[in-house]
Amino acid sequence: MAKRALVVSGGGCKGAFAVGVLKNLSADFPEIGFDIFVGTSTGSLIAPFAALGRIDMLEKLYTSITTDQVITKGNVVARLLGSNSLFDATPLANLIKQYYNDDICQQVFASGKEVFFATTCLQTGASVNFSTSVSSLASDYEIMKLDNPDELRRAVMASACQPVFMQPIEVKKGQLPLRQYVDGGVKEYAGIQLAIDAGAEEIYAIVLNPETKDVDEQPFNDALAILERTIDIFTAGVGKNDVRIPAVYNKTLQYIASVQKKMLDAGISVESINNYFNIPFNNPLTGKKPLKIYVIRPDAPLGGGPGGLTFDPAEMKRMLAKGQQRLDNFMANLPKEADPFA
Amino acid sequence: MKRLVCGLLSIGIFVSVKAQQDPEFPKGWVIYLQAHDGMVTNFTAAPDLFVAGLSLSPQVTIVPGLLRLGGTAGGVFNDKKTAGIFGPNMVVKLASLQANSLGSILNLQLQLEHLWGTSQQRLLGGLLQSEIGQFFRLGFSIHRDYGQNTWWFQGGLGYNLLRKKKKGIEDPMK
Repeated sequence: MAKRALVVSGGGCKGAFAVGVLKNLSADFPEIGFDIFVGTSTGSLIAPFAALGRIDMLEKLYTSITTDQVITKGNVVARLLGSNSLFDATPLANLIKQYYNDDICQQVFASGKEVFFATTCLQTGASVNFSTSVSSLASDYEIMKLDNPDELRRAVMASACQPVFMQPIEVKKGQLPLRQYVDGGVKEYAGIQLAIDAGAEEIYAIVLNPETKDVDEQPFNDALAILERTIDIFTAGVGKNDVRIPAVYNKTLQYIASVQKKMLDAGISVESINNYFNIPFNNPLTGKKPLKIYVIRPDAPLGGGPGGLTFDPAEMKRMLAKGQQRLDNFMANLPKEADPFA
Repeated sequence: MKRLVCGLLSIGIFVSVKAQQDPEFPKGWVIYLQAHDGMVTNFTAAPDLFVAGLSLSPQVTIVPGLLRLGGTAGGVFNDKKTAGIFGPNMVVKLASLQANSLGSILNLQLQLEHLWGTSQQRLLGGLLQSEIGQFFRLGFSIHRDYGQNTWWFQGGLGYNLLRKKKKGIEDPMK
């Protein structure tokens, strides 16, 4: 049976939009089930509860927390000279320990779902995905298995910690050589490709920034404002590629399938067609069928401050409502032949 | 009267809540080692006298983002004599400079104090100073020595001996 994956991108407080999408998705299509969950940053906070179907917990989390419950801001000079990051992420660590207690973590391990947490290793520069189950996927990604609840919490935390702003995290405490991990969004904002490599044939990707350009007409004459804007542009660029590359990959698969069908219609045997396409090299397209990739994203920027680090419950409730509305519009406008629930 | 009390209480709560959102004056202690020098004058034809000193000021935050209480103890050299000075102080944060949404950089503070000296000094005055990076202070002070009927004008620098230093890798998950 085809594997179905849920991918949630990074975006800080904008994760409330993803929760809105999931809320209506689970309410309108209760039969929908995912086998693979890929989270980046805020997506990693969402993935374990989504795997357990605990949308109620996600709604509580994403409509009540404030910035103070995620980060503590300090004196910039003092933190640069005396700490590992501009903000102290201890409040977020406490929140993760509270919500992702041992019982919840054990349920995630026991669920049999493959849950991936995207991080970036500061020492090696590699994209490292921590997973709750042993994965045999052949890909360019480095996959590390999580062995216990503490490691799961640390992986969630590492995936959520934006470098420079929040402290890097050792996921496997005491690991030698030392490996510190930060937000996977540094290299990959939405892990659609990882879901493909994990064998998903139907992918629901919730991407938390819009497709349209985020134009900011203000004059930039302040180094810090330029820094914040640069991070926004960088994130949008990484996110765009994360959607574009799998789309090109899928179009290639669709093209090959169309050619194969034409050849079949022209009377060429299946065996011959397979021979034509079976090129002996490490072909990433061998044996792959065209995928169903559904990208659900907001129509306009959601706000949420630089890096999505302004957690305002009222604003997040609005984001959640936008997510619900966006899912409804998305399903209503889906062509009948593409509708997975038709 | 009731309205006035309610009004003052509301303002107090508002100021306190706003202040607590400011990263300046975090909870805990600071101990500033301060060097200062200047002049002592009584605004007469008599020559002004040089004054210099070194002091320690331990202070604890009472209202985060707004108020510290503490004391000062040190020594001063004035009129070819040295003297010890000591007394309580109170520091109120007047303003802070923010680095966009990243946090704060410095604060402007007013320190009010009363000092007793071992040579009959009775100093009442204040310091207007800027605290940068929560470890360095510079500013100037004016004190009225009502024991000897003089005015003290000084500039000074301070370093927080309890400044947080980098201790390797931080682990917020521990």
